[in-house]
Amino acid sequence: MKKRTFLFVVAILFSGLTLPVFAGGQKEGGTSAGQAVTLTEMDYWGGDPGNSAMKAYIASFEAAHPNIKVERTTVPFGNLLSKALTQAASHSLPDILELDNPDLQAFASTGALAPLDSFANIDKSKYYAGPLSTVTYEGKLYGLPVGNNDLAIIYNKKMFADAGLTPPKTWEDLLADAKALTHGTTYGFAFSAPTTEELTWQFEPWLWTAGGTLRHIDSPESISALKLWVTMVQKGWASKSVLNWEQANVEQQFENGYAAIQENGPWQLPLLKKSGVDFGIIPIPVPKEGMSPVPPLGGEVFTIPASTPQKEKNAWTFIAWMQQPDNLIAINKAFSYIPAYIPAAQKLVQENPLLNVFADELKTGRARTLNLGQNYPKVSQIVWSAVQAALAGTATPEDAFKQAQQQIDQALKE
Amino acid sequence: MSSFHSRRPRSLRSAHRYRLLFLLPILVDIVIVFVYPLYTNITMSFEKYGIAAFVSGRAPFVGLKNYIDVFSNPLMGKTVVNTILFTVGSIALQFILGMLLALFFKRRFAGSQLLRTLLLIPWLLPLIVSATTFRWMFDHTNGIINQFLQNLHLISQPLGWLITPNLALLSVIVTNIWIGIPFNMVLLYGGLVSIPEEYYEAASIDGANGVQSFWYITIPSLREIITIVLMLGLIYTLKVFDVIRVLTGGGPANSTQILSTWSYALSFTDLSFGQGAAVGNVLIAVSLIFSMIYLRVAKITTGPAR
Amino acid sequence: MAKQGGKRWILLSVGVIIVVVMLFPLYWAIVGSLKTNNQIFAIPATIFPPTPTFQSYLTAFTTEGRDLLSSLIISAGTVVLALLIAAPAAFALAHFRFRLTAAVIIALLLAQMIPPVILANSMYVIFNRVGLLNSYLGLIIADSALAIPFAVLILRAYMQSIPWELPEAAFVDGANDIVTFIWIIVPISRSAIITAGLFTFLFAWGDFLFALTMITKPGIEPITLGLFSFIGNFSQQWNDVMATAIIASIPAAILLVVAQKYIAAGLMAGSLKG
Repeated sequence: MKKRTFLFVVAILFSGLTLPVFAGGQKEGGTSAGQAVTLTEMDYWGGDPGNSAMKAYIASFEAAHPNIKVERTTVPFGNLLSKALTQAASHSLPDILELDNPDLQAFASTGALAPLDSFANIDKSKYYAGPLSTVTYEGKLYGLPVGNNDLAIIYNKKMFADAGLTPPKTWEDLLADAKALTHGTTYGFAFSAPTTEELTWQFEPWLWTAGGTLRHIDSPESISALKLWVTMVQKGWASKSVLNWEQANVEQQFENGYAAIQENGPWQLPLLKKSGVDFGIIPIPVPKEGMSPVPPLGGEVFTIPASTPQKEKNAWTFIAWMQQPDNLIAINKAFSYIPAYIPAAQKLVQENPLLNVFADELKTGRARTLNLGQNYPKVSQIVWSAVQAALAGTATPEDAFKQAQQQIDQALKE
Repeated sequence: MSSFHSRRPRSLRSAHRYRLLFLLPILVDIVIVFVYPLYTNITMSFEKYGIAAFVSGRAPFVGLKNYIDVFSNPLMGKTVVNTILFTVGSIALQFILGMLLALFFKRRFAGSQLLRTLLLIPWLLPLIVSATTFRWMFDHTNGIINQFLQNLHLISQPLGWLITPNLALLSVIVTNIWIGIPFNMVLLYGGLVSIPEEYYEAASIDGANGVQSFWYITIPSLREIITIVLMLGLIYTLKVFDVIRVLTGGGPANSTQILSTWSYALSFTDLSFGQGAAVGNVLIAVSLIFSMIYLRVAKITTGPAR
Repeated sequence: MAKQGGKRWILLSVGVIIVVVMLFPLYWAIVGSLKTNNQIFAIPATIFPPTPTFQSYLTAFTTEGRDLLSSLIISAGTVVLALLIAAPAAFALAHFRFRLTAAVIIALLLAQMIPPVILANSMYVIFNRVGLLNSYLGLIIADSALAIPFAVLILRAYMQSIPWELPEAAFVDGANDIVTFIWIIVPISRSAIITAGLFTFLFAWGDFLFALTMITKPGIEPITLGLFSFIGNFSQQWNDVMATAIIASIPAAILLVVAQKYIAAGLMAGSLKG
């Protein structure tokens, strides 16, 4: 290439770039003065259904509030918390921040969030206690849930009918059914146990229903829950791959007919309906007849990062409008969640009876951060490592949880 | 070579100071990209830096407590072992396979240049892409690797590549090797083709066979290149992070947790930033030691080459 | 003669087998992009897509098409900025005597070893303060900052091998340093500059962490971020992910084929001469 041509190309490249390059740079935050208001929002729903649900909500919100515009940013699920923390450190959080509900406690403890009572009057009695506890820190409300979800058992009706089985009610039933339904490429039971919070989440219904707790992970009740899982995998009634499956993979296994029973949540309902599988939903089986299932409470919450009173008030408009029963129902329908606001929840379940079991369980559901507060992530990580060790066979359930207990005690002292 | 300075006319000595301007942008860059982050990380490792401190910027000074906690954590031993296995395994095999490929391609044949080019592709794919693809291939139930092995009757049951603790580490190493082979191959190939052919001719006249030629001619001639390939590979392997995060997240049961992934987990899962920073500093210190060795071997010169 | 030809065929066949094995993961990604999500997870996995469909590419292109443009702008900008800074620095470090030289080289080496997460966070703090977030310029500066050390090392090595008489002659004729640099050094170092530019482009094109950290508003996400929009916490559209990834890898592939000669030369220069 001749020297002239080379330099010419470089010059073009450079000049062609200067235009877009200098566009779009702004300092963080800031709403314009005057009537028009811009709200910045951040969430982790880059994919559907969350993405479409949020887009629809924002569209209707902006239509109803012509002077407010919402600028939405999405980040991958695994990066939201770290991103939010980085921004919190430099006081550049968006006006509205979505969080996975177990993260709220830790975040509120930093003082980065604004308590809602300074500009809102919320009738707490109209909300389910469990979900409301997820957004309560030191007695104050720091956000409101978009909606909640939990876990239940979804089973393949045809496989059950073919094998002449009835849906399981107790752990013994579940083990027997799983055994009977395992053949060929089909496993009786499928759950999710990857190296993330998803494992703890999937484990908690069994742990808590049996009467165990994360704080006392080496109690006999806690160990009994782990033994249930370990038995499933060791006997081959659940695939070893559970160690690398996310709940989305579990759903795929079920849809493809590779699992007769799965543990999953209401957000899978749209996929389940499309799959063509004749499925049924039952509550989490209990160790002994008469006990009630205690599922963990999932779902996301919207919070207001602390800033100027005016901005906080504007941000509140966004959340308040979402909590209007009609809007709440619409967005929960899109997510396939259940509202925490009782009248809306009841209405939604009437319209969609498939949510029945999930909604019922919500009443006895428990916030994951209960008693552990901002130490929950640390403890969760210790527990999921221990569960994996037992499932992989590198430790017995007793040893795995005894070691975990030591680590938890140590971690809580720091 | 006489010093350029002494031959310069007097009036131009003042020009020297403005020559530093050539370096100014890069000095700024070094501050941004090296000095400042290093400073932050070091100070953070001496503070009790929880989530509240992260947000407020104020954290109590706790001396060596983070380092003590991290070193007395039962995970530390396992993580260090994993790191050593991962690093040595990756580098050894990347190097050996790279060398074999380089030797293979040293023989000119039609199409060899094209094939060599194609082999560079793994090195150029975004890590997220490579790691995700390997994650599928290693899947226990529907991974193509298990399928191949079973079809070839090499295994009777599918192997849990990413879900069995020992195998998981191996799988992660294999993926890392795949990513690193091209870099090794190209460097070694470049060295191989510059060894004078006469050496080999003289040796074969003396009756040396292939293995002896390799051992007594090829290796010594490549001594400098080999050392550098190994050093750079080491330093870049210590930084590996994305690959493991995507493949196994550090599990199952911490069996693929290495220092870099553990540092991230401490900071962003446990929200103990001080401890995460402490582990990060251990990593940097190790890199520093090896980079000193590298500087020795590469014989960094400080003036115009001659 | 026949023996020679036969040997070449054997070598070629072995070479092809090696390449096929090494590139299989790439093939696998392409196959995934042509399957539906359920087909990807079917047992057994099929080597050929049962019902090949370009639907994922369509989805990827319509949703991520803009991101491709972003990636292009950011990467091209990074190349220009990085080279603008690295080339003069490399020249200075190669030919001028500074007491600083050794220290600078060490710093450049060590800078490549700082864990990227720490880097990204520190940069966020700085960039937020000066208002460079959410801008192409900011991201270009960030990516350049990281690409420059390696670029300098490559360029310096090459420039060290330029015989000193050339610029010296120009110098005696009265040209000053900048003119010497622009009109003599740059053209001679063309091949090294192109190599350095290639590495820089590929690094910027594949960057995820800086983009994730420096972007807090929609509008300029590069394609590496766009990839993640298909990976939700509850459901993942893997075929779309793969299609996006393939599209994202095309520039790397094109550059590779076009400039493979320069890459091989560049890799050796940067590491050997130090």
